[in-house]
Amino acid sequence: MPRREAARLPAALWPLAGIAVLLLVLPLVALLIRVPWRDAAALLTAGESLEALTLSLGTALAATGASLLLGVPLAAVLAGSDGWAAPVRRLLRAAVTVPLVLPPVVAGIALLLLLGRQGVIGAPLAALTGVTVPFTTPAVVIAQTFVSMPFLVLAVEGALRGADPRYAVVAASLGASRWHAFRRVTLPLVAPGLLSGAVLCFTRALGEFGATITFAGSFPGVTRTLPIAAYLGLQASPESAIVLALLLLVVSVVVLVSLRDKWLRVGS
Amino acid sequence: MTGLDARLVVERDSFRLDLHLRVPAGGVLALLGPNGAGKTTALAALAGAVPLGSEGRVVLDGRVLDDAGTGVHVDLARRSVGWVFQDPLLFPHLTVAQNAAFGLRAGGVPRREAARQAGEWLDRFGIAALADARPRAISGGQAQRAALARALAPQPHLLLLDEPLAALDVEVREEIRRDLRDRLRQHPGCTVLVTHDAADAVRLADEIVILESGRAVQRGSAESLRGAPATPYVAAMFPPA
Repeated sequence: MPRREAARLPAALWPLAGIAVLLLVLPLVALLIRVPWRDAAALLTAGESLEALTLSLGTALAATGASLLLGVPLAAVLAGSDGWAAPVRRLLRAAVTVPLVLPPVVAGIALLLLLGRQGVIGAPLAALTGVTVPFTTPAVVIAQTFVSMPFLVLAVEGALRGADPRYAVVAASLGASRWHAFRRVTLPLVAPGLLSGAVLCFTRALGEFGATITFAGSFPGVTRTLPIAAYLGLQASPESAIVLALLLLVVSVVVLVSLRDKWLRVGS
Repeated sequence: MTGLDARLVVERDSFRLDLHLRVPAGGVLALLGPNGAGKTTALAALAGAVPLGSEGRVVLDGRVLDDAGTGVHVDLARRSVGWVFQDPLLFPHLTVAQNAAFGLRAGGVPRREAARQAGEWLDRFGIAALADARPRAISGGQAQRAALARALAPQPHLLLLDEPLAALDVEVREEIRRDLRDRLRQHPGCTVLVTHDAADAVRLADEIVILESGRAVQRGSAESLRGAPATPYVAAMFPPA
């Protein structure tokens, strides 16, 4: 295939492409310029920031764990669903992909309507057990899982589809039960996809804002995660908001670098 | 141990495989034929990986594994049927020794005992020194030796070999063929070998079945095939000495 030469592009594309790059990069530069580096450590370890940080790490880890526990089986079912009736398959796929494109606020409202005090499940749950889900730390985890699990499911499904199915056949011919073959052969084979899916899932959960603030609110130490603390901090103490934003940016960059083989490789 | 008695009937589009195979316990049968004759389909049918058409039936050492008439079907994992492909397909995340021990572990053999037996099998195939190596660090010939050791270690009642030497260099192929013959001679289960190389059939098998277009056109020893070839293909594969 002939190489696409940048030099042969119409001249008018260059300035527009340049503006696009600036649009993507300048805000981050502005953030870096305004970081109060000298006080950064102190601001990060100040009570509220530290509280938000530990809450965010804990909930994002829990959401990633829940996504692994539930999402890997779902990915395996999806990867093996080619023989099913088309409508069932489409419905299942839509269930996984809709949360990817759904505005997070809509996800939060939908979760409230399901699990809220008057919700479809929330009302009977409250009546029977006295338990209410919204505006608690578990609600944060549920919101994050809803939004981030699809990333894991799609990554693992892709890895499973890419794996040579003959490995599972060989395992069966050696007497391995389906469970044994899945656990000892198939899962290790897709470990890279599993890892990158889990990392993407964790990052998405860590940055979750809209669904969380709608469904779980913003109670310090209970549901006020890093992004929410950063947003609210803009009014009260812009400097700490900037440092929290920087922290989220650093995490994103670290994740991107760790996944560079998968997402940053240009061409082939 | 009464060996294998199978009637393989597989219908797919315009292709029809109808093949009767009998292998005594400890025996080695070679299925020889041109591309598209149905050799690999026959192996898949013995493994239970393709459904059998009417009158299809697989009985291994007195145990009915498949019977289209009664609907009996035993899963590959419970058939005691080992399967080796042209590619070694060693599990890349396990060492050579862990690969060789896989079937024993899956069958419930305790870890230490499985490791001991796996070590013996690697030794029999001349690769004991590679026990701790990862599959990607060894050569294709060494990997195929490991794959054969892995398949034989649980002592399957039936061993299926699908062109196991076809991907190897000529010199390596002859060496492994010799080792494989020694191992198969001592294997109490039966073996069905699929190949398009007459040398494999002559050196490894007690009986050769020539498969063309889904049917057995001739059976017997290499000598009998050479003496009276039934088709031009047989004559070409076994030219008069």
